[in-house]
Amino acid sequence: MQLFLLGVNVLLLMAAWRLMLRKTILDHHRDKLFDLRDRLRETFVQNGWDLDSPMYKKLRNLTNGYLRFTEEFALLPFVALENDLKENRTLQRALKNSFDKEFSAKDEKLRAFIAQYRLDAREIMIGYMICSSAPLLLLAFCIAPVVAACEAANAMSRGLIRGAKLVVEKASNLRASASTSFDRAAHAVAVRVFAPDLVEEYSYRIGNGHDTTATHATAC
Amino acid sequence: MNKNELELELHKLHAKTRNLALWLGAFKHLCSVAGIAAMVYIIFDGLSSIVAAKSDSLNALALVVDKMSLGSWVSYIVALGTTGGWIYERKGKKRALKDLDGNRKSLEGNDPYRAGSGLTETGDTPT
Repeated sequence: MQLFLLGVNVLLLMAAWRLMLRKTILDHHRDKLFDLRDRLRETFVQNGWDLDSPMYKKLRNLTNGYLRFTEEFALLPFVALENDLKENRTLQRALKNSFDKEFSAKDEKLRAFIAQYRLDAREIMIGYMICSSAPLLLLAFCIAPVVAACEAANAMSRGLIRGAKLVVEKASNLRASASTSFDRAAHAVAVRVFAPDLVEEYSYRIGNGHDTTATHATAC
Repeated sequence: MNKNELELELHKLHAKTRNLALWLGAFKHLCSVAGIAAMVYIIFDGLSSIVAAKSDSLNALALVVDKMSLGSWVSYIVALGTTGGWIYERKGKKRALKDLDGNRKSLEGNDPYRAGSGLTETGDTPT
């Protein structure tokens, strides 16, 4: 009897992971990327920066590449790429330089925005890589309460009253607080598993040979 | 490293990683199939042991249903409800995404550069 129920339940779990959870995880991260792309346009408009500038195009194309190839961001190929790049330091340096050169700007405010934007996009993709891998997702879930407790202790150590205010503030928005703790936990897992710096290199490897940058694409 | 050398190295890396991704994909697929086969075997093994314990019964599934505890029933009902909720929520979300895409298109209509992601209007990967 128990053996029969075990078989049925494991099959149901496999179906739930494949048909439901993975789809929701993908949609959730794509939502975040769409929001990020909307923020890009908004910031450019607010600051009077040109929406036809090469930098806007590059950042938009980068996000479009992430959006189109989100599913391709799998943990194991990424770790393999990371190891290959670690062996070839010259290539790694050349890639890093070419990216830094491509996303360089003279305006200090624009430069700061670009750096933050690239970082945010990378964080989303790292989050996806962690969440789409069942063992790492489980690990992140397990350590999320520990990360939240550490943050609370850290806040308290900065000053009892200020810390208490911070904790109350965070607890008042429980959903956002849980989400932040989970994101931090995912990040904590990510920095131990791979080098987050290589996300852009990976996206360009995927985008190689695929057209995601049509000037007036009709969909999304 | 000049631009051409960098391109060449990138292509090599691309080919290597793509190859690995294909192998890993095949391996994962194989594991899934093996896992499903193992579970089906466990189910039938479990069923046969149930029938063996009561050899006069013809319907093994009726015995399973009979032996299932209240907790198991409640769990399955909750899981069914959750699945229904998920389907309902997802339909609504896809509808909202389609509306949002329309709004986004009209907002960005006059932009000099408005390259899209290549996804469908509901945000799915095109097949």
